Order: sequence, then C-alpha cells, then structure tokens
Amino acid sequence: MLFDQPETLEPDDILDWHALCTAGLRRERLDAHTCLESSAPLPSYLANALVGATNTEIDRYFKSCQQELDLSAVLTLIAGAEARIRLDAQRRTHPSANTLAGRLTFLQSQAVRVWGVPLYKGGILDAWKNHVGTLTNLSPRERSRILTAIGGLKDVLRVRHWVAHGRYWQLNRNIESYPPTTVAQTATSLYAALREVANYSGLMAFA
Amino acid sequence: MHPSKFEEQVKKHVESLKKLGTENAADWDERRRWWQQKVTQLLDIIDKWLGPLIQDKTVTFTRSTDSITEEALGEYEVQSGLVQLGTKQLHLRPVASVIIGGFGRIDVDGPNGSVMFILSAPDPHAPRHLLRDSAAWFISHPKQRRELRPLTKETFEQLFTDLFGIDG
Repeated sequence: MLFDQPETLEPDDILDWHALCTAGLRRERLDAHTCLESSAPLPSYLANALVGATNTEIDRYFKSCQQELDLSAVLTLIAGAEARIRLDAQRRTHPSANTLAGRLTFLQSQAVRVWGVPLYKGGILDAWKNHVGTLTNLSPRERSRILTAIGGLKDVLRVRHWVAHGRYWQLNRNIESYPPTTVAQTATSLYAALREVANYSGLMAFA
Repeated sequence: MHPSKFEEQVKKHVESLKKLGTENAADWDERRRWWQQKVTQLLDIIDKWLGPLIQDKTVTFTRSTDSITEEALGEYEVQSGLVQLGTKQLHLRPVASVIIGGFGRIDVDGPNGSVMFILSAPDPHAPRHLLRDSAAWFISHPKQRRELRPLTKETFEQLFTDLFGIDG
C-alpha cells in the first residue's frame, strides 16, 4: 500500500496521491455534466446519488467529494507525522545519552501503550521544545522560528481528532482553513526543525 | 482599411456563436414548454387518481405556481401540487428539466419520507431523437435511486400510503 511505511513517508507522497484523486474527481464530474447535457442514463461507475441530479446538484456533490478527499489527505498527513515523531522517539530511548533522550525514555516508560504518550502537554514535542530551550548556540530569532515549527502541529491535531472520532462536535475553525497543502507544509516545517535541532545538538539525526 | 485575416476570423467565429446561440435558444424554449406541459399533465393524472378521495373531501389536492431557474432554460414558471390529508401534507415540487438520466424531475416529500418522479425514456438505448418522445414518469427511491419503477395508479397508491405512513 502507498502509505504503510511511516519511516519514509513524506508529505509530498500524500500530496501526489491527493492530486491524482483530485484529477479523477474532475474527470468524473465532467462525465456527469456530459451525461446531463445529453440526457443519457447515468453510467454505472458514477455515484447513485447523481441519479436525476441537476447542474447545481452535480457541482455540489463533487465539491463535497473534494472536501472529503481533502480531509482524508489531511488525516493521512497528520497521522503520518505523528507516526514519524513517535518512531523517532522510540529510537532515542537511552536514559543517559542526553536530556532529550532521558525525557523521552521516561515518558515512554510511564505510558501503558507507546501511543499513549502525548505529543504536546508535557509529551514528545514538548520534550523537543524544552531541549531547544537548553541550546546556547541559537539566536533568539532562530529559536523562535524552530519553536513555532515544532508547535505548528498542535493546531492541526484538532482536525485529526475531529475526523478520526467521527466529527461529532463542532470545530472552532472552518475545515477549509486546513487545506492539505497547508498541513503538508506544517509537517515538512516540523521535520526540518527537528532535523535542525538534532544537528545543532549533535544528536542522532531525526528519522 | 480592410480588416485583417485575423479580424475576419474572429468576427466569423462570433457570428457562428451567435447563430448557434439563437438556434439553441429556440430548442430550449421548446423544451421548456414541453416540460411545463408534462408537469401539468402529470398533476392532472394525479388529480384523477385521487378523484374519489377528493370528491368525498378525504383529501384536498391544490396546485400553485413555482418559479424555477435553470442554466439552460432560464427562469420560468411551472405548476406544483400539494395533497392535504388531515394535518399532513405531500408536496410535489418540480425541480428541473435538465437532469442526469432523464428529461425532468419532481421531488415528492411526505411526512414519512421522500421520492423523486423522473421523466425518462423507458429504453435509454433508443435512437436519440426518439428518446424524449417516449419519455414516461418513473419513481426513484432514495435508497435505490437507479431502480426506476414506472409511475402507475398502483405504484402511486403504494407511494401515497408509504409517504403518509398509512398502515395496511
């Protein structure tokens, strides 16, 4: 399967898949409009929901499909980032190696399940942020940029929870403020920041 | 000064578009009238099917005029129907003529659910110019939208009891 290797999964791989599916949706939408113009029966490969659909209903239906596709891509992007961060944390479990490794080892030893360790709220990414605070060779500007990138995932995690738990509550922000490209950028910036921190501190490279 | 070849080409193109537009407009005018008639005819038939119940005042069947706007047909008026049974109502609202898989659609909403009436050719593989002439009304249920059942007095009566929630 496309996305079952979290160690090497890059946001761009997910965006490629998203672009492919978007192109497919555009083609199906075009087919539906062609069908409408010729009063032809609905082909079997088009959704049942389009039987008897008007011009406006076709567009509304495909817009909803696009939104669902965007959400799937966003969920995959965030889940991919989470897996990557957790796998990296598992590789750093050497209590005495450095403060970051010590904190990550402690967090994982306290959790009943490895996925139970939070990312923020005193979890893995907060451990990284605390580690950034100990680095003396960073300018205030660089420090602020890196901390912003590490903290960037926090906002989009809301979307991950909302989608993964069946969307039974109201999101504070419109879902369209989290397009896949923006979420991919958030993940890419986070990976780059963690690589930089590892490099500055002479730690094992971020996975 | 004579127009250049390019200018002539563009002007000729615009003229052909105008001609095509006029022809299409005439086609769509005819289509709109045909569709308005089909809706009125169907409401007449339903009126007839409900005749005995209307006469003894068990139900009332009223018609009104709705305004619809479609990209191809423009804005036009069409009849809609309302069946009143006690405090409950069944609405028959024409939605559009230009639809996928047919030549028109009426949405039917009752207290117990909704269906669509679709005006469609029974044989979709018939020659294209014959498709519209053979069009008849079918019922499409939300859960089985592709399974079009012919709209007859019997299927309408079944639908009526289903949508009003009238038990056997």
